[in-house]
Amino acid sequence: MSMDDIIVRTAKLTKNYRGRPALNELDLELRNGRIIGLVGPNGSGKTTLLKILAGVLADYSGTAEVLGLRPGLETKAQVSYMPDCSYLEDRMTPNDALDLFADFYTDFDRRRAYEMLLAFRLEPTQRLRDMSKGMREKVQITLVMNRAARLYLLDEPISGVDPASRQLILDSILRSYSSESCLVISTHLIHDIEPALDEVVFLDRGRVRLAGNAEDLRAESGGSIDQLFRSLFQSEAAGLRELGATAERPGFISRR
Amino acid sequence: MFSLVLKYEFAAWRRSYVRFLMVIGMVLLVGCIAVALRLPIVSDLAMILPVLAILALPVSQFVLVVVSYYRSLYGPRGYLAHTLPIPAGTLYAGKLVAAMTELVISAVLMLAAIVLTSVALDVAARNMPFSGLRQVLRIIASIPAIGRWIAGLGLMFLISFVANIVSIFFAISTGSEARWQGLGIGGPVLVYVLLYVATQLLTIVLMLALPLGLQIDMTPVVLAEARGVIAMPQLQIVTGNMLTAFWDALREPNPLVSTVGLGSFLSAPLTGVVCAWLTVRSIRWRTSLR
Repeated sequence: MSMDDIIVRTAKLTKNYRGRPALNELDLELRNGRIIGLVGPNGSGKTTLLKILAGVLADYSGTAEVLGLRPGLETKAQVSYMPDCSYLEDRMTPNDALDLFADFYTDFDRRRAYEMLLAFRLEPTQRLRDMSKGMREKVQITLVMNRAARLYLLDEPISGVDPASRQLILDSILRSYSSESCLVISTHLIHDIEPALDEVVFLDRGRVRLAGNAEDLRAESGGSIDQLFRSLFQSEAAGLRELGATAERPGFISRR
Repeated sequence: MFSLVLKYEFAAWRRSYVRFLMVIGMVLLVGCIAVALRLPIVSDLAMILPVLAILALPVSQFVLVVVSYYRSLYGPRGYLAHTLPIPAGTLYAGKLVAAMTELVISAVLMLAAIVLTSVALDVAARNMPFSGLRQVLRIIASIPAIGRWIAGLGLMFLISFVANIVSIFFAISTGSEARWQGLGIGGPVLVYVLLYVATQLLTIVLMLALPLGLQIDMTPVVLAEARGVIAMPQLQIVTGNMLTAFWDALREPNPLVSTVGLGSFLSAPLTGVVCAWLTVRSIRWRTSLR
């Protein structure tokens, strides 16, 4: 494996929010030609890491490099980022959004994007404000995945989508993904994306808790990545129990 | 890239503002027709509609410019703006030029609304249309050296107009940096207040430091008033220590003759240039979206 394969490198990457570390001296290397699952409990630093790599979050310490460069103008042309919120104007239509991407990104394939919109059964002339959260996510996935970028960063890409559509979206993502690039997916829905992953990075309190090849991790743990996640972070639930918390009804936790 | 930024700025403006403009136009039209018809009571009450429309045009556009800058760069839409491969300077320049153009368009529309209202008032008074406007223009034209006054005041207005927008954009960008983020919208507000205080201090320092002043003599205005005509103050560039002139004005105020240090006029362009540079720097290196 040569150094040229490294597409993302962080060293002692630290980001604090009002004194609380979101990333805590994070050391990480991500390589080309991989689909990487970025997983971890809430507040583990997944979104913060993706924001820094996408160039929308400054004010960090340590090193963050994409293709050997500090995230900035040069890397933005090579990175295709989907945040965990809707970033398109409400009054736009999917057609307007396709035009915008075609104008600004030379690597955007408008024809293929249009076909993907139709495959998602989206109306190209419908205003985004009249669409559901899931439909808007599909529009954003269409935009992001139809670029020929070197690095794709998807933050919770299927969180607002119904289970039936998840598979369709994942299939579309995988079809659009080229082996020349690296795809990082941050999600809590590990079970859904697990079959697609080459590698998994478990983040915990801003550090890498465990990382490796998905196959190897499954073989070592004797279970799925989803099960491994549960066992790794079960200590949190145990901590809650020690504090006297008890689950009275599913989804409701109260103190004794 | 710059033309693309402008294209999408105007497209967003069109999508968000044209419908509002149509409503304003309707209000103006209904008000003007009601005024022109001279209906008892109704016409008097309806006069409020054109006044509201005239005021709403620049105010709403100004609010839209400020809100749109904040939302497009530091709200959820900022995730798109900041991941597009556009140099920070180009993005900023595009937003600034678009904002200026939109404000100028709203000012032109406001003038058109004033003309329309004046015509409605002419019709209501059974005068020839535009007669009221012609009278106002005649009075303005009778003022000696009015061309130079309009050019001078216009230039000053233009500079302070651009500097104001630049200052507001600076306050929003700087106030949205990570160090101010805990304050929410209070960040940009606080930065704007600090900038205002700093600008005032700079104005005083420049006014006193530069040995060049503008002597404003109000005597022609007072004399003209007595004759029932309009005149403008007499202006003269003077040199000398402005601190002394300032001190003299405080000790023995003369209501007719005063001297303003010309250095104060440098404050707006100077602040504008520095703020523009800092804003581009902030967009490029210090953006921290929540």
